Amino acid sequence: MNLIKIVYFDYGGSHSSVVAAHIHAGKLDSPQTPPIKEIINLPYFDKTQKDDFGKIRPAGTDADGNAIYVLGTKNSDSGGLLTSLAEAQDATQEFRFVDTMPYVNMWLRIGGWLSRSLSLPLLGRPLIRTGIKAAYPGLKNLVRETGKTGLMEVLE
Amino acid sequence: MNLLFAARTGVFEALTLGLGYLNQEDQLETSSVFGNMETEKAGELIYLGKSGDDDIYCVGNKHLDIVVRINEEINTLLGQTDSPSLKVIPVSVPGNESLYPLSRLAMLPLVGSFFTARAKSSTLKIKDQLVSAGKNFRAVNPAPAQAAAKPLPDPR
Repeated sequence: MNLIKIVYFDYGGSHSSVVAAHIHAGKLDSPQTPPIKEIINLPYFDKTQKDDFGKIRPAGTDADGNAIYVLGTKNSDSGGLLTSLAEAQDATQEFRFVDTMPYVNMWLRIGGWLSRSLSLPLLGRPLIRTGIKAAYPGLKNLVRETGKTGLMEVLE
Repeated sequence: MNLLFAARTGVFEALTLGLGYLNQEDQLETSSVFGNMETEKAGELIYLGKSGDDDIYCVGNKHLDIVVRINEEINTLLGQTDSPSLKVIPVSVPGNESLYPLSRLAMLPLVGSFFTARAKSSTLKIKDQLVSAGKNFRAVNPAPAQAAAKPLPDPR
């Protein structure tokens, strides 16, 4: 079986993409739904700095050995760019880019902006928690759709 | 090595410069891509043609530094940092700050076509500058096929 690189991306690479990538990598296996404490302690979660935009950062591997990554593109619609960059390098078989922007709700937008753009995490993080709770079921479904064999065990 | 000319607008600035690189600048105004806002919105790489064995593309993106970095990251993950298969050439056009906002306005429904015409007109005003930048880039970085086309030394 060919192993691929699965890149979850969104605008900031800080919230929805981080959660989805870590669900996929089997690092959020708590029976509690959503496991807010585990999510808050994830590497990269609500920690993106300016220099992190455009960096494809590793989040682990899935049950099949595929490498999982997180990316913030500073753009709300980068699917076409990422896919065509891989195509131009003849690497479409090696990458799968997964957009988590459709799961970014109003709470995540406002909370993320307060926490990351304005450096006001005390104000932003309560909103981010609310946003992640609302987005979590959708992100789990997205990962399930994206996932490979073995992933279902992680999600059960 | 494939080349990607990236500017803040793809179907105006980057397209013009890329066609200049390919010596096809006379095709700008008849190109189906010139001022095509659906193509711009998609954000995908636009294939312009071949230069020797190399594929030439252009793209529009507000954050050129991010496009460069994502491409570098993909190269790194593919293990081709020393000989990347795609190089991004960021293009900035000093003194032409109105083109980007015009291109955004051109995406509006109903009134978009008015701003598309303005953006096209604005591009044609700096066409010579963009085309010569493309030609200069080619002169400094000749395609391998061009170098191979030099006359061979007389064996006698």
